[in-house]
Amino acid sequence: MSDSHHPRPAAPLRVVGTPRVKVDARAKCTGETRFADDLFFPRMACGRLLRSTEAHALIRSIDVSAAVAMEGVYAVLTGKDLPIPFGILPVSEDEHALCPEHVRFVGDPVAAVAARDPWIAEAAVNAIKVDYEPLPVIGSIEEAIARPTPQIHPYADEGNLHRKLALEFGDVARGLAEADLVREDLFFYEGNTHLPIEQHACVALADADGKLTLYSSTQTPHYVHKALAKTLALPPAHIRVIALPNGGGFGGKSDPFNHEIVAAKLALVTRRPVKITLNREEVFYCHRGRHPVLLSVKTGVRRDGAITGMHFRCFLDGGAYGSYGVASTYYTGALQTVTYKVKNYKFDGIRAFTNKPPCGPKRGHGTPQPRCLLEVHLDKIAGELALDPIEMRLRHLVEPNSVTANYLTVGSSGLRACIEKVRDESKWGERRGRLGPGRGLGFAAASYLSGAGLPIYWNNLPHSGVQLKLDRGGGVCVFCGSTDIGQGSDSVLAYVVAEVLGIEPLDIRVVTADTDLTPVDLGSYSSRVTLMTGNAALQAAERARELLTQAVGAKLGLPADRIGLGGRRAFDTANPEIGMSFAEAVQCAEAKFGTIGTVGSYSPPASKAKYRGGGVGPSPAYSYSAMVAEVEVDATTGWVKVPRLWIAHDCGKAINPLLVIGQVEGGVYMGLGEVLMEGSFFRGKLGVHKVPSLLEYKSPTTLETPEMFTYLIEDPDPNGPYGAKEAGQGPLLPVMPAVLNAVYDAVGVRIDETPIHPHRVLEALKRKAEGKEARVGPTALPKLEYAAPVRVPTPWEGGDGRAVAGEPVGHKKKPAEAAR
Amino acid sequence: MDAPKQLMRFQVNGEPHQVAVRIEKTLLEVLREDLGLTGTKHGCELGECGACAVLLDGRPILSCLALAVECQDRDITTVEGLAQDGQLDPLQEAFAVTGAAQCGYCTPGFLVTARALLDAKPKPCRRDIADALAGNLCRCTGYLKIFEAVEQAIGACAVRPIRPPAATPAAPTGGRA
Amino acid sequence: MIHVYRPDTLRDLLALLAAAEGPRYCLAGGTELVARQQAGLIGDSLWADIGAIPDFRGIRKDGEDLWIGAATTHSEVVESPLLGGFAPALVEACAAIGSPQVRNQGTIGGNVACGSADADAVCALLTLDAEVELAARRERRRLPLADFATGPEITVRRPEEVVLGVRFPARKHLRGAYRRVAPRNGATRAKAAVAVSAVLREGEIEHVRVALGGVGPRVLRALGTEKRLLRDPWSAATLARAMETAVAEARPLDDLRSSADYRRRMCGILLKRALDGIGLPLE
Repeated sequence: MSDSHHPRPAAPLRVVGTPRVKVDARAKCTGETRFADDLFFPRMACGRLLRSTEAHALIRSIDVSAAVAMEGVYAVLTGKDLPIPFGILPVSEDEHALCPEHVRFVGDPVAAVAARDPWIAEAAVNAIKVDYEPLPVIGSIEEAIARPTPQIHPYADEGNLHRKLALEFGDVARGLAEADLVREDLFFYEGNTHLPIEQHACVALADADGKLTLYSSTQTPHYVHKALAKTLALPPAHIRVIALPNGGGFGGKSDPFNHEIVAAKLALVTRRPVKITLNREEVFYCHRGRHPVLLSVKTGVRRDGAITGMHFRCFLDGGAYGSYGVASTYYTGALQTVTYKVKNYKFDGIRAFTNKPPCGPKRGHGTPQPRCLLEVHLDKIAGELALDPIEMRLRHLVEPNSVTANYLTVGSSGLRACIEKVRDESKWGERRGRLGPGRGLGFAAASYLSGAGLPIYWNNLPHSGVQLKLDRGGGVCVFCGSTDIGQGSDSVLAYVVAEVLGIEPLDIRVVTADTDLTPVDLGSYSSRVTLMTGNAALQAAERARELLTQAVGAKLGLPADRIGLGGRRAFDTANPEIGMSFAEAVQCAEAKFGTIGTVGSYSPPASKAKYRGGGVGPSPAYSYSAMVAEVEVDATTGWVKVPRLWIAHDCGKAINPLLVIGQVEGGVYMGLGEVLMEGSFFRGKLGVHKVPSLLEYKSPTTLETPEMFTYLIEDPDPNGPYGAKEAGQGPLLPVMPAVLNAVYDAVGVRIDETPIHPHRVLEALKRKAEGKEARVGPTALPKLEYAAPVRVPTPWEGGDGRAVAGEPVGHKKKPAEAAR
Repeated sequence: MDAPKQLMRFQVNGEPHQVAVRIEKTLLEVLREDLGLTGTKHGCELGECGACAVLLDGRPILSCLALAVECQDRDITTVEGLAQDGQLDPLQEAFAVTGAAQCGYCTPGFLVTARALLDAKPKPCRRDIADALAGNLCRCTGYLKIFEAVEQAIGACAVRPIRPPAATPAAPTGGRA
Repeated sequence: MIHVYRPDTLRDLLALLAAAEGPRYCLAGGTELVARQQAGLIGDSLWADIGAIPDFRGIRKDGEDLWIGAATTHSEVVESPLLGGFAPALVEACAAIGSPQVRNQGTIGGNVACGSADADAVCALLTLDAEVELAARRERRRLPLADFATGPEITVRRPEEVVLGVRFPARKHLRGAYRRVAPRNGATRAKAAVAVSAVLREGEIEHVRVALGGVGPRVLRALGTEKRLLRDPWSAATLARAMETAVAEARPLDDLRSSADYRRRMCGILLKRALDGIGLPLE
């Protein structure tokens, strides 16, 4: 990263660091903000998908004749109309917009219609007859292991195991041998879903020249753009994707989706605007939610809790498609090493294909499950060693500016400050164990990425770009491909530019997420936006500042570095009364240099992890969080209440503390839902979603809201704009283990699975009363042969980040090759 | 195969509206599709999320579960009707400045429901606020900023009911299909 | 296809229901009917919106009885001073239903007519010895609410009939409570629920009704539990036996909201809490 990414020293910050209203907040409070489903166009047709009623089947035939014949039906599509596969990761382009011959879960789309109104569209899809030849259904990780055929996808590493991978850093066997205590624990983390209140929607339009525009509720317009170009075989230059503000994303709108491609195709075929809005049931089928993961960890520790070796095993239930799953699998093994020092580390990851809606990235992507087990495991270890679980952790924190066993480069770390803050504020020392019957405190800490170090498809281009246009009226327009999903990314652009140019955020117009108008930003995922677009905006704004100060300096007969910008003025820093308005400054610059526009871009620093699989985990900066949770357990009903929580989050620098706190509180809320009640449950062998509606998929309401004490720890990271790191995902991570550890503190039982349904608490209490092991949770892992690990010597063994063994020669099978 | 339509009449945000729609349409569909009032959102179709909340004669209801025909001649307030005389309702301003609207999709439902609360009870405590908003789901905020926003608005709008809540609904006089 | 009608008078409504063929539904609040239709659970049918008909409205004393019109919303029940005095269990049950918005829309008639096994208002009404009033073009009839639902969402209502209202004796000094366990606190259906209405004299139970919700094919009267409570003087042992009986009387199923075992177990706990709620604490 060049130095121009850094703000000039010494200038006191006027905008950055102060709480302020989001640039789009008032529009969201008046009903003016238009979401995708709020768009209406003349002649607009209603598109609708027919979805498979079978969990696993081959399509013998599809008869669309009755639908085609219906008055008011404009077009009917089936798989043969969209034969080109797609998928978010180049290694797993295993989806079709409409299944040509093989359906893999209940809800997989097989046909689509465009019609005059929703009633006709509904009648038309119901008139389509599909003849299925059922195949055996793979409903769980265990079944996927036990039943290698029929294969859900032929490109799987083995049978129905999408991926089997193993990484070993150092020598775990040696590490365990050096330990004073070796402990192994198992956990099952149930899958759950994002549940954005906005259901996915899109509108596609084809113009008279055959050029396509798609408006969509997507977090990743750039990837949708690529998927449309591929599947429709159109030049990317003829496709425009506009992401509208997302009514909640949380990772659930990060894949290119069937309905987007289908709407585009229908628009091209009918030459009408076509809208497809999913209903809530369909949103449950789109899913891409949290993977259910069966996990084990075996750790060796010294008497003081120092970790000599750690071996994690993660079995992911991936659902029917690849989605982000390969990345998710690596993520379940990646971030265990960035909080506490781990001397030797090994990870086995297995992702199964099952006949259920595909799992993918949900807030925390692949890291909440292992983090949950790790923090519960450390709580148990502290118990065995008779150490305070917080003090034990504090002895072994990863140092700032260090490299982990798996070659992740940790820059700034406020983890110690986070832990001490929640320990002190919760009065942990005085209160733990003294709250009375049924009440307890639990602790956990965590870390997350501030953006992935590598893009989703291989390229050497910037991850984020910003263009600025300065207008002679003093207006500034920021163009950036980023998508505001509620986190405030539009506002961050305005704050950074306003800070540098000395104007107010409301003076700035922000144009985002439009592939025709805005430079590429990879999307709102992996907590990358503040850091990456912030840096790009900073660079663009610094360059604009350069032009302004040069021009104003020339006009005033002063050196450019004497010119300051602030208070909507350009002025002589030695004599601030001498100067001109910002608009006049732009005019000076325009007169001197011509039309004023600048650009900025951002690429993450190169990673030290050179081994295969090392692409997942590296980040420009890691955020840190720590939590103390207080619980009340009703031993008669098993009901767990969380009355209050203390959360400290190291966000580097809060560009707008109001928004950072909002992200922290929102993440904590979502974590509470995962640990207390939420789950994607399926009817055993049928692969049928039990709860594809809000009637039974329960998330917390206002009445479950705890008192929350939020502390922002600001340990600026040199890689972040003004030092900023992420806040959108990390704070969710400690919630589940902190609550689980608190339940143990309250009633002495271990709930080693999520969510903590009351009957599980009662069962564990019953076991305790009967003198059995006071826990509920998995007791064994499935039997299988693990992959030979990719062996990488640790930095302290003199390694250079490259593997010394275990890397396969050549490349992995891709879907298209396997199909041949 | 176009179904016959029926003329619906109601006051929406203080203005009389007449619109001919298919009689099985929900109030939500009529507001969004026929009156262009897209501020009211749909989120679940089953009355579980609260995104579609509007005020019917001053009381919050779920417009996805009400047929428009049930609202004949009644008084409906949507989020677009909260601002008056060019001024945002104090709740709207408070939601904006406290960060209670993140993605903003659930916000209209929260706003009208909170408006009805403050009209009925100008000084609610936090428990009252939580009770009144228990039918509105938000996935972004964790609700705390929403509580703070309502509390911030209390002082500013204690004596400003937008329309007097009707004790009993006016006798409907709808026709027959 | 749904055909919706909005008759102005009861007479027109009954004529409409009598003349129609196939499935017929009366639309009051819509919280069940519209939701089921949106969920694709209701096919071609005739809907009669009763909102314009005054005969379905009101909460009033009718001789020795209290009468609640079918179109009375749950919020109206909660806010009624009359019912606060004579039907405290019903007021608590209606306050527990759904969300505030749903309580503004959903009606007593709807809660009864749907015949759901976890109907909160029905659970409380059973402890009030409520009767259902049904009207058809040719006949009006009244029957005990306990006989109205015969299975999950199965009732004895004939297609041409409409639920006009419910009535129950206005018993003086009646105490009541409704307790439930649910997947969360806000806006949800119960996993299991217990309603109790009772008259106490000098710390002893003089009259008691107990009903169990969500733990059988329909809401159940817990007759055995009632007998247990009346047989012996009030004591911890009486309570324990009554709790055991309530657990034994429950006939729950496993479903995705709860296990049968958990539901059964909760019947005892909830009974205890409801009795506590009417002023029969132990210690």
